[in-house]
Amino acid sequence: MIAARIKQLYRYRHTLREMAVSQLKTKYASSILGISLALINPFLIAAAITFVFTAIFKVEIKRFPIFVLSSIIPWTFFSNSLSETAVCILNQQNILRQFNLPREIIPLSSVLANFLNFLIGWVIIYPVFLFFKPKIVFLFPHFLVVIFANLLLVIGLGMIISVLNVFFRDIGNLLSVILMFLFWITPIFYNENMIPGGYRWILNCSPLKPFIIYYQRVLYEGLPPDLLTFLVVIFWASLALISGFYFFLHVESKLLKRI
Amino acid sequence: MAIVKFSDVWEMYRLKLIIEGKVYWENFWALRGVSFDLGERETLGIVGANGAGKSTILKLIMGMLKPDRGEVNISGRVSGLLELGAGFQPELSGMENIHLNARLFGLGQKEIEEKLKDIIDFAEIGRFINAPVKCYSQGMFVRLAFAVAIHVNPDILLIDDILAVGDEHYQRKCISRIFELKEKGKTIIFVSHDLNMLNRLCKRMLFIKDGRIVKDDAAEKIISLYTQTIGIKEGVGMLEKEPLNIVFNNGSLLINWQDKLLTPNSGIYASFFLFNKSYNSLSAEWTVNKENESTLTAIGKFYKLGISQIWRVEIAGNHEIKLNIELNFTERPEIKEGYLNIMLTDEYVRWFTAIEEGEFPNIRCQDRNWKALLENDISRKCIGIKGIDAPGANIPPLIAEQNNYSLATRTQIYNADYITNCRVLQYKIADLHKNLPKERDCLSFFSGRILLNVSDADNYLRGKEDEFILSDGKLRLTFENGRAVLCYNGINLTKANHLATAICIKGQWHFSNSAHWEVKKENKKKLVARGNWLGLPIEEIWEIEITGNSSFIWKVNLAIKEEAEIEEQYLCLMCSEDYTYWFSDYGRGLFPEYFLESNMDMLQRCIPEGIVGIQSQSNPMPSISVRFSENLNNFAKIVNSDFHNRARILRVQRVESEKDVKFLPGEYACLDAEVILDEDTHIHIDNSVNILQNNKLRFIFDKGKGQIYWGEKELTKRMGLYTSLRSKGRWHDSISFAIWKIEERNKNILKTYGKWLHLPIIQCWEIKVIDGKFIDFNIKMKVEKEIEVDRLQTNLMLLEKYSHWLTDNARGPFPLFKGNVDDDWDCIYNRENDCGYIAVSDGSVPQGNLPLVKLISNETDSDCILNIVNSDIYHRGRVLQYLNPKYRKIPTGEYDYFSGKIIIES
Repeated sequence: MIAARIKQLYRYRHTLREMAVSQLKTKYASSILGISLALINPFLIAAAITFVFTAIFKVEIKRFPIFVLSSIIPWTFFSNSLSETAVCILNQQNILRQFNLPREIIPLSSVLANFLNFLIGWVIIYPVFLFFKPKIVFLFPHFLVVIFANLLLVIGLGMIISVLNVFFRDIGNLLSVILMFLFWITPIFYNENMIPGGYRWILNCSPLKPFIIYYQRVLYEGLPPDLLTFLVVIFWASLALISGFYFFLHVESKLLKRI
Repeated sequence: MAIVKFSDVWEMYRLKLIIEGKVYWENFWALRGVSFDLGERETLGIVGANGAGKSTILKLIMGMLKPDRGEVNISGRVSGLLELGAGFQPELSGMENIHLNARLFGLGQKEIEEKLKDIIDFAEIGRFINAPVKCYSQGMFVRLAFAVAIHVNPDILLIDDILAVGDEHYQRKCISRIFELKEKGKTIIFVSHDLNMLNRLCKRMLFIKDGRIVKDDAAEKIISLYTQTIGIKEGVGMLEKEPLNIVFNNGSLLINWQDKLLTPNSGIYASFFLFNKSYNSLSAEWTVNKENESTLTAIGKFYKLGISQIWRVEIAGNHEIKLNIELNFTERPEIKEGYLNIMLTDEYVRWFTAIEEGEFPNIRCQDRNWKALLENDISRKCIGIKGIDAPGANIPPLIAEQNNYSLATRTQIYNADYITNCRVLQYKIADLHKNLPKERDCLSFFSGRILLNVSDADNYLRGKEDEFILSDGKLRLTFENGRAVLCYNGINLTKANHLATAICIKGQWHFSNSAHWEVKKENKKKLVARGNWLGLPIEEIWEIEITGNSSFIWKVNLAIKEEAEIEEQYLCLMCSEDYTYWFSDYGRGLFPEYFLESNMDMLQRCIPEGIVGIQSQSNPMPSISVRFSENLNNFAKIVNSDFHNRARILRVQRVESEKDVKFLPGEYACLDAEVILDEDTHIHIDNSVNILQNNKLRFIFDKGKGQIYWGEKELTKRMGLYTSLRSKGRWHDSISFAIWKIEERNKNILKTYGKWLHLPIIQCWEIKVIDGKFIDFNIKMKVEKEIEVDRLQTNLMLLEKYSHWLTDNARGPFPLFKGNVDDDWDCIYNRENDCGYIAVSDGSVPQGNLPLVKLISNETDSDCILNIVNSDIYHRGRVLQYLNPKYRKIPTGEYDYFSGKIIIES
């Protein structure tokens, strides 16, 4: 059954692309900065965090801005995507009522739009990392792997959240709080080692943690990730994707009656 | 092979109910056991009350819902027009949205490119196509959305009442597109509340109520079931008497006969014009009160206007519907015209009245406007409509009858346009505002009845008019509203307007068929009819009495209520074109074979006394002779009608001799004719031609007209040699306005005198033919009472072939004929009368076939001039004229009028 759905999705790939592109166009329709916002945003956040955690709280990490930048960009992708998928079905109910498309296109297009944003950001920022540590160029394949896995994670989670929000509007309301929470417990602006051992388990609650560590190793440290992190990343990505899909398909028929 | 198949489908929604702060969940079954099949190329309509489950069915077909129980089988590509404009991004331009939306519909890249231009053209948005959709007006938005949606090429098309929005132009376009798709053989499912559209589009319909299919049947039956059960409850009422079933629904009356809707669309409804805006009964607010099993009263209020309409509908027997409509108002409204429209199914193909009948042509796609079928928009009491005369066709003939009453009503039958697609019978009630009764505040708008399935409807109408039929032996006269049909031995001798009258008051002509008539039949052979025109202070009274088994007398009198200026009056008999020959004591001849296109052809202008008549070559038609009274200043005319009517007309006419004569109130006898029919068809012989001849020159005098022949060839044309004078603005010529008698006649001299009809003068003509070359003539005028004249003319009209004119000191060619009949003739040359000559020639040197014709006056008279004139297009003749143009009053006495010579030189 899933195979049939995937085939159908493939047939609708152009539609998916058009929807994603039009969402992007709409997002930047009246803005002056336009697509460059995709870069400016993470830069500004990185700058703010750097200021806070070097001038006020003295975190001892070398080349802190680079460290933060490498974590902040995937985090932005993650949090923006989830926030948008939470409301995407609710906002586009009329499409669901009028067209007989595979419903997963809605959250997928939302994620895809953000993903494009994400990639554009990398196109500009990756050379920055190269500048600071040229040898990370050899880790480029790993970089691609983590990006892809990141995408799958977001797709999976997005599909679950988009559907859940239709039935339980709390999800949307709570999401911002949950994201904030995740922001703190994911080692974005600090190192894992800086946490006292007894509390380290909290970090493991964040599904994003292995991904962020992966990014840091590949971009900041210039080392390939260790096997454990690698496997965990792959695991989380596949689990998210598959469970997300299944869940979506299972609840789909109830969804249609709710709209 | 079914394309859509529903098998026992049940669909449930979970409803959340919040009562007093507590939340309850309820299972709501939107569909209960719905089953139907739909094959290829079928159009299905779905009607039902709001919330009956229609949209749920559509969603199931779309695939958006899965049935909770039962099965839905769809084959083919489905496309729905459920919510227009879904997926439109407001920030993006129209063009970008077209691409996006087309993709959402599932069109591929190539298809989009092919159809892009068509979509843009259909939407008619212009250059705004490149502007963001958020700034579109609602109309533009809807047009764009529909344009994209209609260009998807599905096998199954679902339409959910989206045509409720948009202006008329848009609606028409959408509707014609949908029809096109239907023609292409797509399966269409249409959900709507517009019964008219459903009837046009679908042959089969489903009526859904509370999730169940109540009926799955042919469109007409479902519509009549729907109108009876749904509709605004208050304004609906129903009366029934097998097999007749009437539904009054908010201002329109629908008639069903054995489950068949005879009056589709808006049924029977009334409309009127007030302050140049049109209002109809459908837009009023109605309350219906059923008084008993066979009568209902409905009151419709037009709140903004302060007018209410009261309809009383009664079923009498099981074939008759009586309808009475009244208007009540608080202040007198300026309603000029009102209409009662009866829309009938296009299965009716023939219409007929007591004296005419015709067929309805088929309504085609190109017909965008209503087409009127009756020639004269006049008042008819009864009109009948019939369906095809075939066994198995079960459409009952229908007769609409209006009760006699005082408002002038015109009736008209229309073929409606393609989208409305029906026949319309219309009663137009004119000049309502002139007839508002001064004291009362209500007005009778229409009162009549509709009869259905009358056996032998044709004869019913004729029989109905028995009140207006006179007969004796083979002769039968039927009077219908200002026209009387003359029938002998079963054959109609008259046509078009039959026997009718006309009267000219203050320059305006009024015909008897536009008056309102009251008829009283005194006995089987005599009737008296009184006709009144709205706004005219006169009443015309006809007395028709049959005096033998083939003759009758027809008198026309006038009763004048206020001072009126009556200029002319006539009665006429318009007879069948089978009549080929006319005769009188003053002329005779054959009717021309061809009719003029738009004018009437006056054959004999004036027959002052005696008998005038027509005869036919074909046997069964009797000759018709009319003897008319001289006393009343009547005279007769024979006219060939125009191409349109194709009739021979006998007229008895009366012209007031002076202009601006006012008639004081009273009763006057005006026209008096005795009509005699004679089966014996012998031709009257004539013996009153007068010929003078000398060698090749021949002069023929015929009742005030002289003709000149050179050998066998006639040199004069039409009016020939004649005199005419103008007095007080009117022309009196010797041909049409005088009676001639021969005084003396021998081989060379002819003396004749003519007495003018309207002027107290007598002209004596003395004509001599000398030497085969000269015609010498001498005209004297005897005046009996003083007259005022301003033109005294002697004219010689010659052939058109005379292309050049000459005098002793000038010459020239004739120009082309200008002007219409009766326009002023074109004077080419004039000279003083100094005994010179004026002449015409045919222009060839040496002299060609035609001899030179010269006109010379014997005496000089300083007042007179000689003219050479080109006549109008009708007469096409060259005229040599001797004219005295001085205005003077001529006292009693004898005078020389003209003395001159006509010289023929060859």
